[in-house]
Amino acid sequence: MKRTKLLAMLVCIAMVLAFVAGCQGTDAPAKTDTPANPNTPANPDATPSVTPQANVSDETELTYLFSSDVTDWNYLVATSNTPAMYIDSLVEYDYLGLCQPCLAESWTRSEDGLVWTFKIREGVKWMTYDKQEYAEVTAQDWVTSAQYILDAANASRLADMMFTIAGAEEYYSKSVAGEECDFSTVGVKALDDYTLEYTLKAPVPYFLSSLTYKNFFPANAQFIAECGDMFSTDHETMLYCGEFIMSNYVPQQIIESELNPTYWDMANMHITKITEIYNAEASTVEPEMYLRGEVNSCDVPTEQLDEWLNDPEKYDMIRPCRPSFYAYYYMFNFYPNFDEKYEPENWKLAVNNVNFRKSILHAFDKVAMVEVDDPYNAEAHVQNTVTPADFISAAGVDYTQLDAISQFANSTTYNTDLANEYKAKAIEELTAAGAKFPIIIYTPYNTGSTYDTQRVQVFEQMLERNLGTDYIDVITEGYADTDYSNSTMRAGNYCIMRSTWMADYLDPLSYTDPFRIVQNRTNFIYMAEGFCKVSDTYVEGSYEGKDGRYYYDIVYDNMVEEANSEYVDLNKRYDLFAECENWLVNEMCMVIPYMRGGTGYMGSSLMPFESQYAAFGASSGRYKYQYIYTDGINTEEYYEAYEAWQEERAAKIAELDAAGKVFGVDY
Amino acid sequence: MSNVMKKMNNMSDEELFRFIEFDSSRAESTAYSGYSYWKSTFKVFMSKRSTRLILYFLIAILLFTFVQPYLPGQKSPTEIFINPETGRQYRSLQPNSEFWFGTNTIGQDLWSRIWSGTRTTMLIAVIAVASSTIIGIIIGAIWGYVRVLDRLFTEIYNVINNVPTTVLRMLITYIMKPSVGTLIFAMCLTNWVGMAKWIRNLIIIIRDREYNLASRCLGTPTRRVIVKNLLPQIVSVVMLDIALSIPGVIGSEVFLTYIGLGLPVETPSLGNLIDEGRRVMMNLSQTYQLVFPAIVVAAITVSFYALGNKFADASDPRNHV
Amino acid sequence: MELVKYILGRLGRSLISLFLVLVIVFLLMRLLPVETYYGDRTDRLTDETKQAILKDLGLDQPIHIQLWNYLKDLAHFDLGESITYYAGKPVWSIMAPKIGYSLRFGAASLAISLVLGISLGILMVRTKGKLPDALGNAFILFINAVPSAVYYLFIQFAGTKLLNIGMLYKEGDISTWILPVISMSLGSIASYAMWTRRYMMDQINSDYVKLARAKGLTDKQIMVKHVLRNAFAPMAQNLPSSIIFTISGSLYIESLYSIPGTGGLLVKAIQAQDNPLVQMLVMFYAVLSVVGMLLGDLAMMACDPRITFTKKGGSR
Repeated sequence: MKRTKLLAMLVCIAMVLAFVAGCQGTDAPAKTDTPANPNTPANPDATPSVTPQANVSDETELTYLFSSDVTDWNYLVATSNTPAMYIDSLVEYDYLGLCQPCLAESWTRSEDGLVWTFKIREGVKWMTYDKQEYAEVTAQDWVTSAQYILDAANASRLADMMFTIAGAEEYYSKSVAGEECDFSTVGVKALDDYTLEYTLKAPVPYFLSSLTYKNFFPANAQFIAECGDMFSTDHETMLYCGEFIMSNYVPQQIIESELNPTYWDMANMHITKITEIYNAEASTVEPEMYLRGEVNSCDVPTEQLDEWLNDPEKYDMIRPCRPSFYAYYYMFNFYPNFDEKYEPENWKLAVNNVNFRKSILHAFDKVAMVEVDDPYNAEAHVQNTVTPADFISAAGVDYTQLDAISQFANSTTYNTDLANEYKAKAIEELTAAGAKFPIIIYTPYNTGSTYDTQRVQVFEQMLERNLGTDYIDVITEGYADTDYSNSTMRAGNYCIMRSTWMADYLDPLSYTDPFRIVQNRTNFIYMAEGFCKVSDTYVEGSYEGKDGRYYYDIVYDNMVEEANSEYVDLNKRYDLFAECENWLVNEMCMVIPYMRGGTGYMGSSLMPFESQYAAFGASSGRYKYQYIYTDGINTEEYYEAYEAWQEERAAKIAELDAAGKVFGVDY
Repeated sequence: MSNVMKKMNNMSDEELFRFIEFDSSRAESTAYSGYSYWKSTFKVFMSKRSTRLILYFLIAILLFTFVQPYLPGQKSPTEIFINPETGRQYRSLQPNSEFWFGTNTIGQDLWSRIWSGTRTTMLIAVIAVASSTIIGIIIGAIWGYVRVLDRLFTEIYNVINNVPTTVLRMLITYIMKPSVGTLIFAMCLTNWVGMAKWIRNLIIIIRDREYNLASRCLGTPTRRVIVKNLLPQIVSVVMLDIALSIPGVIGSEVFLTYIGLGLPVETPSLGNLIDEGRRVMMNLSQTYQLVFPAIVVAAITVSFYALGNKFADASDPRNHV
Repeated sequence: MELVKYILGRLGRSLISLFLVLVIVFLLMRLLPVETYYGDRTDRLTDETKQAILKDLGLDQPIHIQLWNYLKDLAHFDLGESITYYAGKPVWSIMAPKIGYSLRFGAASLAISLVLGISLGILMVRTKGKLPDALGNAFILFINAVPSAVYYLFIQFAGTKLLNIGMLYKEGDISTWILPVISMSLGSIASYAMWTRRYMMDQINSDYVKLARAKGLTDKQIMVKHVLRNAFAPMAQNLPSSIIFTISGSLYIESLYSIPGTGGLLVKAIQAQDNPLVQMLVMFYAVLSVVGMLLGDLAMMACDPRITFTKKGGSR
């Protein structure tokens, strides 16, 4: 007995020890290379684009927290990374949002708009993570990246973004099917080391702006071949030709980026190092760390705003967020595909009645809704159009102020009297059509998001209060975060739901994408009765809808198609697009746009109006032109700079307009 | 008194005593004290004033959560209150005569949210703990006592237990929608295993004690040994565990809320009230949003904990004399 | 020898349950929708691209073939590569560096809580009904009554301000260890103290203590030699598991202090539907739990000779 006991004890101890020892083996500190200080000081003679203000800090290093890790660094495959500070593109946007040469020094466009030729900047180097020169950046690198993306074996999520290029779609289809394919049929050619030529399938007025997205980033063929499957899995298997080099990267721990010592535009770089520390609780910890000066940026959670704005010390350290180009809207579902108990057939009758939709629109208090995201500047963030203001302009007139749409864009839609007028009409018409009241409005929401839960409560109480529960009955149902969009929005499992969109390139076409059948998987406007033709079998030019039937002659898609075919006179093009949008949001009220992104407050050591500015692409991920300010930017400084920036931009645009240049192509 | 004595003194022996027949069935019987384990436990438990006070307090709180919505002047826990003057929400209003516990960050009444939340959470806790305890005790007792079943049960336990709780809970929430029912189901599904193992360990410790050996020698059936010999021994520990499970369930609810799988804010519960309050904790003007729910959680937890301890003491037969 | 046979037999049988666990989780994970793999441009991808993505991830085949392939790789000790979480990285290399951090923090806090917890428990027993006992009870009550999420955050915010140190864990800076370790220990100090007190109270009423007292042993001797040892037996069983499970880290504390440990990795992996990573983690935790349970039983056996698992004559 005694021996057994002793043995048990020994085995026990031995196993624990072995285990601990085994683990200590893996315990060695992660290899951290600390290279010699490489920070080449910026050329003091060069004039920065923005005059720095008095309180510019001597500090040139930034520290951030991040809570969602980049899971795939391969910028030719994944959609979730932001490699813009590591890789430069052909063109970039300056702080006023004007297109500037970057890796392309100059470019020309053929008469028919099909062939674009870029002169590549000479002497730009590919660098490795340890700051060794690897090769020179040449025109071939863009051919390499295109070929990589269009090779189905790489399973790139960006492939479809290349389809504006001649032969790209055909090449990709063949590649997916596993057929023999010849890349020389694709319209990307390196004429020599410094001359790159793109041939397009059809004239694309916004081609230049689409070049800032990462599918048009360069890649080095030799390096990809060397790395094989491991290409871009961490900092050592990446090459850098942009502002920064990722010198250290430990997943879920740290990302350290140091200034690229061979960067071609060193004069405009004022930040030398960026340290990003992983913290899963960043939203909780970050504001306090920002107050203590441990990090350079924080978002102020909406629920804490009251406190922050009323505390003079804290108030002085934060500023409003800069408006973004995310458009938020509520959409009506024309393909009710949900449980019988929520009466999908009844909803179908209701949603196809324009007066019903308008009664909802006018009972919808947009300001109250925005308040969930930004209780203090709610009105400034209300937006009636899908396309945000300041996105694009035609002959000096902002797109949202074009005749076709301006009246609606500038109106206040919340009007309970009007809502009740439409309600009366809708009741009359719907009763005749055999609908049952109250109409159930089934609204799923995301339980993983506090704000979404709050929003859905505001939504329910607002509509039921303004329209009466005898008319509508909002029923909310929570879904878990992970599969939220797939199980609700994409499945047609909702009546009215919130969604968002942001442009991919500088053209109003980009904001029509979510509503056309071609790219449409989230809402089903093409099924709206009376605005489409439908067949159970394939018809020439038709598209298969979510319900498996074939839709063609869709009114909205036809309107967009017509606008899109106008690529010579861009002013006329934008007018046509404005008409499409007016039809969609005003006349027919198929969606209810209500908010522009960039809500709330944040603390930051950077001045937002110094950074590269564009509504799309990767420009916002770069640090060029930016200074670090000692005590952060406060609200007054923010608005002052905002106004100055607006004036400067307006003046510049007016100047270019006067010179006969066209927004989106020439600037 | 004296009357009876006098009467007895006057009686003859024949009147006072009589012979009885020999009864073999009573030969082995010993004195019977009228002792009932559970009755004594209850008596000892209720004999202390402090215990009774806590018990009444707890019952009062639980009753109140059910009565509260029907009292006059109560607000809906989900209604967002709008300031009639500005037309905007009453955001983060400090406690006042209108909103007794203040409002939360979108203008809902914290007082009614707390009671509604207590109701939800207690419902979850009681159902989850009760069912996992019952299942756990039954399976754990059999597992621990019946040696031949030990292997089989251990393997089953290994399979169930080795699928990490997080995987099970997350997948359940994905398949079913986040709701009170889902949460109860997810907690039961994972909690009973721990309870069963716990009981099994206790049983193994006392299984081979001498009085059990004696019972076995006398041929007492297994079921009887488990119920009469073993279970009373572990009641004290089990009660303490139950008392702590209730706060534990509240804790796991906070955790599930934290990883995004809890109840939505729309269904107030103590878990998400705490989670909401935690976010504004460091802002002095909003601290009340954490303090009020935390006090309620603490009061309930402390009561259960104290009662668990008292009951554990009371359930020890040695304290019954 | 009988014991060795018992251990080997148990480990052997564990392999079967391990296999079942892996298959169950494998099938459960395949129940989740594939849309997650398309990334945030799901709505704009062509069907061809979606097909290419699934093929790349090896998810285009029927489930039984996927399972077969997985098991085949497993037989060659190939755990696979992460597919969504850190695309292309071998799963073990994601996990390995994290274990060290969690283990070190866990071990530190376990040591502290064992020592402090048991001492506190003994102290409370010896001063039953007096001030230290009351204070100890108050502490246990507080820890149990206040949700940990609340005081963790408070400790971090107030503690760093008080000590004037950075809010996050910094490698090589020992002062940044203090607060996370304290936070991690509080809960288990309270629980060790509570159970020690409870078990020792149970033991103190027993006859052998009365006998020992009658024999003239000092209180201290009785406590340490007899009572504590008997009281420790039920706790001993959970000890190896606690040690081993410090590896799995504390999700909340690691998150708050940016400690790059393993806490939360499983949650993240499931959310990203990274099948190979989830499988690896599940297997890892399953092995830990099997070993932990075995060690626990052995430890209990070592503490209390009356307990046996090997079959004896006459027992059932």
